[in-house]
Amino acid sequence: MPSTNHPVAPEELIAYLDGELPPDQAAITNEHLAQCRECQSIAADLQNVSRRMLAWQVEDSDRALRADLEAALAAPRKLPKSPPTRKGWRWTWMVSLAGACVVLLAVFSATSRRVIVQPLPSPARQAFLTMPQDDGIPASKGRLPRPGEPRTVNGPLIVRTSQLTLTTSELGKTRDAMDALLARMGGHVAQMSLNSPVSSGHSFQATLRVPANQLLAFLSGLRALGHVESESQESEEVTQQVTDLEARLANARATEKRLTEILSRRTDRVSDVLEVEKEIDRVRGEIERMVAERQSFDHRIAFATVNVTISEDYQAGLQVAPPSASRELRNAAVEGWKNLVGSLFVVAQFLLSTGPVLLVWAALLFFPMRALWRRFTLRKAAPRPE
Amino acid sequence: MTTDEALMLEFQRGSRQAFDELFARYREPLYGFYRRRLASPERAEDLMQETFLVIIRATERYQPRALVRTYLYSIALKLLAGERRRQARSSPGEPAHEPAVPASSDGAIWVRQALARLDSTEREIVMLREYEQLSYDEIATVLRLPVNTVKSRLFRARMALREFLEPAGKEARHA
Repeated sequence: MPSTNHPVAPEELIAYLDGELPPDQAAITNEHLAQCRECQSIAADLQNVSRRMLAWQVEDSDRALRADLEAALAAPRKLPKSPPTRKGWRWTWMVSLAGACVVLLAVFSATSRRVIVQPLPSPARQAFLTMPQDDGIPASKGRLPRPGEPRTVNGPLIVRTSQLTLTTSELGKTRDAMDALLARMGGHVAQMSLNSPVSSGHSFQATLRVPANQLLAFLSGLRALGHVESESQESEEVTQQVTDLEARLANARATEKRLTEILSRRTDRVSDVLEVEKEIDRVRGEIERMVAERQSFDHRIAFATVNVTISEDYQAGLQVAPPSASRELRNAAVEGWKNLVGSLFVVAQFLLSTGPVLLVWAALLFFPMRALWRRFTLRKAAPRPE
Repeated sequence: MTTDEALMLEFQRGSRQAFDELFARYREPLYGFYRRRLASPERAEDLMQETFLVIIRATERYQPRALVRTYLYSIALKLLAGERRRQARSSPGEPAHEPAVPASSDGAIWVRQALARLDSTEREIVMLREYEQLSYDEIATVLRLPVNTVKSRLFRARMALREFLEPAGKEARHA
C-alpha cells in the first residue's frame, strides 16, 4: 500500500485505474504512477485481481419472454402523469394568493361588524335532530338512495338553488315563522348568521335545505313573511354527470370483484399476491371516492338550496334624556387623556424613527455651526472702526 | 444508437419495439447478475423476467431523472433481497448471502470462494463494479451509499481479494 508521503491516496489510485477520476486528478496520478514503483506494483496487483475475477463467467439466458410479460405488454397502459409545469406553479401561487386575500377580507369584515352566530332555534334543531342519519331526509318526504345501492337514472336530475331577500318590520317574529315553515316542510338550516349593529337595523342570512318537491311551497310561504326585495332561481341539470358516475362506479365494482377472485385463486409468488392486493386497495379507494361523490349529488338533487337574507326596517330612536353634565365632563377627561397619550406616542414614534439620523446630522453640523456662531458674535462684539 | 432513456420514454408512449430493444440489451446482464448471486438458474431466469415485469407495471411512474441501468439494477437488488428473504424463511440453516453459482473452472472456483469471504456490502460493491460494470456513482445510487464510501470500500475489497486469490495464483504458477 502506498505510504503516507505519496501525493496520491490509494483510493485515488484505484479510481484512476477504473477511469473514475476527473481529468486534472487523473493527470497528477498518471504522472506519479510513472515514477513510483510502489504504486506501480499496487496498480498491477489490482489490475490482476480484476482480470482474474473475469474467470467467473455464467452461461447465457435461453428462455423467451414469459407469458405473463407478454400479457402485461399487451394490456393497455396509462400514459405518464406530466410533472407540474412552471405555469402550473404560477397558477397555484395565484390561487393561494387569492385565497389568502379572501381570508383576510373575511377576517376584516368579521372584526368590523358584530356578527352573532347562534345555534339553531329549537323547532328547526328538533327537526334536524330527528332526521335519519343515513340519508338526511325524513321517511315521510321520500329518501335518498343508500350507500352502495344500485340506482337507475330516470328522467332529468336537477339541482335547484334560490335566493330571496326580504325586508320585515320585526325580525324575531319573521325568523320564528321561517323556522316553523322550514320544520313543516322537512328542511333544515345549513348555515345561519345574525348581524346586530348598534346604529342600524338587524339582519340575518341563512342557507336552508328544503326537499326539492317542497321548494315552491316553501318559497311562497317565505314571501308572505315580508316585503320581497329580490328573488332569483337557478337550475342545473346533472343527469349526464350522475349517469357517468354510475357507469364508472359499476365498472370499478366489477374490477374489484374480478381482482378478489384472482386473489382467492392465486397461490404462487408472494410478489404477485402483493401486486393484486395493491391494485384492490387502489380500486376500493376509487369506489369510496365515487360513492361519496354520488351521495353528494343525491343530497344536492333531493334538497334544494335556499339562500335567504332578511333585513329589519331600521328606525332611528330619539334620545329622550340628554347625558348629564358629570358624564360629559368625564367623557371629556377620558378624551383628553387619550389625546395626551396619543400625542406622546406620536412624538416617541417620531424620535425613534428619525432620532438616529438627527443625531448624526447634529454631530456633523455642530462644529461648523459653532464656528459660524462665534465669528458672528465676535464681529458683533468687536469695536467698530472710528 | 438510441439511449436507454430514450427507449424507455418511447416504451412509456406505447412502443413495443422500444421494450424489445431494452430487453435485448439487458437480458444477459441481468441474468448474469442473478445467476452469480443465486444457486438456481431457473430462479435467476425467473427474476430476470420479473425485473422486466416490474418495469412494465411501473412504466407510467418512470421519470427520466436517473439512468435506466441504475433503475434496473435498483429493482434487481430489491427483487434479490426478497428472494433471499424467501430462501432464508424456507431453509433457515443455509446462508442466503453467498454467491452460489456452480463455477466451471478452477479460476472461477477461486474467485467465488474469495468473494464469499468478503463482507456482504463489499462483495456487492466489487461485483457491481467488476461484473455489472457500474460506475462509482451508479453503485452509490443503487446501494444508497456515499460515493466516497463506495470508493474506499471498493479499494478495501480489492486489496482483500488480492490476498485471498494469492494462493490460487501461486498454485497456477506452479502448475
